[in-house]
Amino acid sequence: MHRRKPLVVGVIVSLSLAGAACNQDDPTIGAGASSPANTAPAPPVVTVRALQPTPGTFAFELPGKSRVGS
Amino acid sequence: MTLRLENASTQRHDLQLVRAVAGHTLEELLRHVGSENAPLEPWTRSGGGIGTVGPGGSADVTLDLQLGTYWYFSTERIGGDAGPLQAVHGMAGEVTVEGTSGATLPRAPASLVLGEHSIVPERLGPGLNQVRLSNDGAMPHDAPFLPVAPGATFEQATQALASDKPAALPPPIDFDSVVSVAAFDPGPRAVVSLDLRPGTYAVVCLLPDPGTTEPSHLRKGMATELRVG
Repeated sequence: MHRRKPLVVGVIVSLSLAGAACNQDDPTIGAGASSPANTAPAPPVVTVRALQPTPGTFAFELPGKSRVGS
Repeated sequence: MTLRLENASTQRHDLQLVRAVAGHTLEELLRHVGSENAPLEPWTRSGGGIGTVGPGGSADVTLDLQLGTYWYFSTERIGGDAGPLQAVHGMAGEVTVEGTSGATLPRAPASLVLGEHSIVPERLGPGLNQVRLSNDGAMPHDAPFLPVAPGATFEQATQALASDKPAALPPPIDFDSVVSVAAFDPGPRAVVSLDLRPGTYAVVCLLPDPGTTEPSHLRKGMATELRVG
């Protein structure tokens, strides 16, 4: 049904999340009620949309970036 | 970072992250992922991700990502298990994670702890669960939640999964309602959202040891029965 075609990989994007990573050193993650986690900023949200431009092709769309995929 | 996958397609998709490794390429990784017989390469560093989301659905995961470059791709296939990877039809790319926010993982009332070779789910219930996931083992693991079909048992489900023979009909697993969890390497923590229905699940790891074509960890006992509701 679907002919295998050469690998088509997405373009390289640089996603500057301005705070994407969580605090690696915070030992209180998931810990008890009164922890510094209460005052930590909420993690930034990055939404990725899965698209189907045509019946046989697919793509991920990242925020602020052009569509990635064939 | 909270990563949310919104599925605007008519197909099922997931989103797997793998740490980019110098000297290797995304194309190389996808060749291994797409092959039934190729081992999971030891250089593969699973960064977590989002399990399969059906058409119109969405799911999210909050990851404790390290800075750096990651490859992302869908591990789902077109037209069923024998089809080509969606990743080679456009659903793959490379992304660089920059900056730190000081954010922490949100609290999660439920937990899922993976290791060699055990799966320990706690406090999961029907509906949407926020689950703190940790891999306390030494190798990557996944943990799909496979609904045991009505009238079947957990033992029948796991025996069918572990067998090389075709499953009896009707299959003891409701494959249309699987709640998947991306592969995670040891170390990084995450909070995943899992939407569970009342019933019995077989929670298993289907990955083999890295660098080998040995049977999956399921055959080494990495399976647990979870009754929801």
